[in-house]
Amino acid sequence: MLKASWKAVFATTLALCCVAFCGCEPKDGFTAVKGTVTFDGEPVKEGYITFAPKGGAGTTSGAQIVDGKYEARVTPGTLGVAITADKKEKIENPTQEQIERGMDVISVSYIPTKYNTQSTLEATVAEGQKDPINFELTSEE
Amino acid sequence: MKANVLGTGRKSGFTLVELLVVIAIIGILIGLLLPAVQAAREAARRMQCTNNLKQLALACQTYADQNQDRFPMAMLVLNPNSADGDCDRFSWHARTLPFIEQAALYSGLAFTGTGKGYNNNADTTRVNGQSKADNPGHYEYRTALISAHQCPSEQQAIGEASAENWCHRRSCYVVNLGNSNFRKDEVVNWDGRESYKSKKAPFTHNEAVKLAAITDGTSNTLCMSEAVVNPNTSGYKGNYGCVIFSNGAGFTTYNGPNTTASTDHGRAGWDMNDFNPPFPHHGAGNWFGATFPAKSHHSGGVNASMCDGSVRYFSDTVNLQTWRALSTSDGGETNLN
Repeated sequence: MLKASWKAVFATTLALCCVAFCGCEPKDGFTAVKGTVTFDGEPVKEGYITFAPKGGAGTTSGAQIVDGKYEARVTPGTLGVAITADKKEKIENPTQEQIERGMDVISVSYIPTKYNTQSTLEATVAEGQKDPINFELTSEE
Repeated sequence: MKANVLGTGRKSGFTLVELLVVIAIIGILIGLLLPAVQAAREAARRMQCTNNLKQLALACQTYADQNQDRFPMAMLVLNPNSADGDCDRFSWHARTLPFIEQAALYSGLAFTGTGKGYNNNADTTRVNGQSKADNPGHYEYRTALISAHQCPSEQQAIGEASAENWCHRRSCYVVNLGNSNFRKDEVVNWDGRESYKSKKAPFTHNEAVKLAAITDGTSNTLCMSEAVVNPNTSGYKGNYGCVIFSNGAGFTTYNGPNTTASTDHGRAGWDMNDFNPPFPHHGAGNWFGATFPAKSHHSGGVNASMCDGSVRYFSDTVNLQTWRALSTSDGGETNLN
């Protein structure tokens, strides 16, 4: 009697655990992609990569680039890609207000516009994409 | 069946193992329940936020009733070409104050004059009865905490507590400025821009849009949504999207709700060079741009009100095309649900 009830309780516990831990896999329409970004052969130290669905089906997303690597969650499909990276520069003669508000530093982009504001970059992401998507950018026209 | 016949039999009761198992089961059940309770609390905060959006959307309607059927202008920009734009003029937040029972605060505002709202000479004449020197322009208004302007899920203090003349409280709510990214028109269609037809929106700067111009129908057009506080490293607590004076009092649907996409080189907001014609912004730089995506602290989406005053919840994964179409007031889109 004891053994039987113990087994029953054990089985119930196991079943409960299964219920508790199943369904934790997020299903939200995003696919994880990662890869590297280089500019003139050098990894982009700090920057940002943005993906936007061509044709508007899906949503926009992006990720930080750190030491030439990024990991983003994107909507699968054909995506427009924009890559930005900045150098920080102190502005000349900041006002007191600008200093107090931390506005005395501006960011100047060093990546050509063909990779961001007028980007022609594209990426095709399959659902459950495993292969990395790498970008090799150059300063050449 | 009686126990203890021989004096050595098993006594009725639970064994240690059984007790442990029962405790384990209870533990698991609590583990399941606790997140549900937390979610209920967040759901309550979201409801409160919905209520705020409803009140503010109705305030815009009431404003229109009293102002020739026009919504308030999103912001007033006297000189969009100057570096800091003279653009800290009053936004729709100020203009709708009488309709959220803040008439007293409203009566202290000077809407005329030039320069920034906070250091405009004309503005400093009536400030709590104190002199200009003690109390720079619109102090009362700048430091007012208006509960209808705050989403209860926002844990950060909204705005700076300091008495510096540029410090002011913020709001969590932003009006719909359309689906534009304010970039030059000749930019390559790299990101699905072809998926939207029009840039007209129910709110814009320097112009109070007529309700009649919302030809898509007020229930098919976004009125306002949410923004979050993004403090910078210097402690400046602007939520990028929303400044109680003017610039950044709106959002655009260029990016989806709660997007992780870059709107300004990794920060949220565009560089002034992205604007042509120059759009109101907070000076030369890039982290305080003028327009932002809708963002919230609610899990998985944002609240947004439509121009008819109804409030809906939009998922982060709402189709970009739908989201952009909803923001236009004259795009002629149908079947948006």
